[in-house]
Amino acid sequence: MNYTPKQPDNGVNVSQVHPLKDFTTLLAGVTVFVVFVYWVLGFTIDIVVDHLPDDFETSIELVDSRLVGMETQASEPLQALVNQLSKCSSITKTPQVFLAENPEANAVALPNNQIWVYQGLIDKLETENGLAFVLAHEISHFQNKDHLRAMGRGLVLAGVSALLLGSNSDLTNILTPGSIIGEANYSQARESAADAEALSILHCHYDHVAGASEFFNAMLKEDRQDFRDVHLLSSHPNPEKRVAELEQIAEEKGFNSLTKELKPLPELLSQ
Amino acid sequence: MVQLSILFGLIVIGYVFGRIAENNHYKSITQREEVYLRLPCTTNKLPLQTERKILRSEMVRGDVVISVDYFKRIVAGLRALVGGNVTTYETLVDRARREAILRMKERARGADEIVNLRIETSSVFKGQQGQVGSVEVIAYGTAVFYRAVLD
Repeated sequence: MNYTPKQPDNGVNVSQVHPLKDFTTLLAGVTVFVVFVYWVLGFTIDIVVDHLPDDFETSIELVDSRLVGMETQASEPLQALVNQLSKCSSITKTPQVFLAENPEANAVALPNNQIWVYQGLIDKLETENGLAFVLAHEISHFQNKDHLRAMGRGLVLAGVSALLLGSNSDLTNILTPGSIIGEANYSQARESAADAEALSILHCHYDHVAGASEFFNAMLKEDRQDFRDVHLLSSHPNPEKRVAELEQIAEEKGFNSLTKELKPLPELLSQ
Repeated sequence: MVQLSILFGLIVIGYVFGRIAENNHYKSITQREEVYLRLPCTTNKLPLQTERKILRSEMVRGDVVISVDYFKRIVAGLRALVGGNVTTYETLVDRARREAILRMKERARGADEIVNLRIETSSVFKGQQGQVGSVEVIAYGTAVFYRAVLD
């Protein structure tokens, strides 16, 4: 038998695809798919939430102040304000409002018809009008059932990533940005919608909308870097944009935003 | 964000170092293959030169373990979602097999030829979550030493 010595051929067993090209194509393709699945499921959740009965959420008790390690207490002046503002909205059940011991400047709308106002937010405000806008914003979230939408989307995101990627946490991490951008986009739109409705509630209650942007202006004054961070990824539009939007809406709807008759914070709160 | 930057850092490290290691390895493989080209190596059961007398024969083997890098693993993970050729692992397995054969030939120094070549591949860390896997290849065969031709 004739034996011919020969070098192994490189081209047959090894594909001549550049690994980076392979990587980018795969990553882009899978990201598009994940975003698409997420978008479709998110859309479905919106439809489901729109058809939920009004008393649905009173049957879920997911949030307990003890679980998040925050002391909360009922606050009379806050509740009184919420009661009045609720009359100007279309919600049927007045939310319960609690003051939470937390230095962060924030307020949240939670399932089970609760609003938590963090002490840090009260500290930033000087007028009742500014506070009323924040509360009206949270009331609008209830009106739009945004908290249920957010919860549904959170569950869907967790479910989809668990199903698709299993426990492969590296893949989960690498595919997360796509869904976060989609989520941030959606969330920012909901926040803007809540801002617009809050302005209408404010106009209905005070007959003017002056002082609405007090909180945003206070945040801007602090010039906090995390507020100016990547806005593509954040859940809320940046404060500058929100102030501008509020001004625009006030102008379009003919709300009076120039009056100087701002009420001071209720005494119990300003202490 | 922090988690994501760590992840991309690992991918970049995996890519850069994996690429350097791979290029160097291929360079060394081609050089050594050139050198050992004179030692015939076949999967035949019988030696090529049937007319010659065999002095002795011995079993020789070459063994190598090569690790996957982080970049390759991520690409393979993405590939696993959609299916298709895992091209990033092709170079890995190719290198391991050629290296194993070269080591076997190095072991068979002085032999006239190697017959009955066999190659086996297995994966170290198989099935373990979160582990960067390695490929192990063993090549073995029978080295044949002919009696010197005296004429």
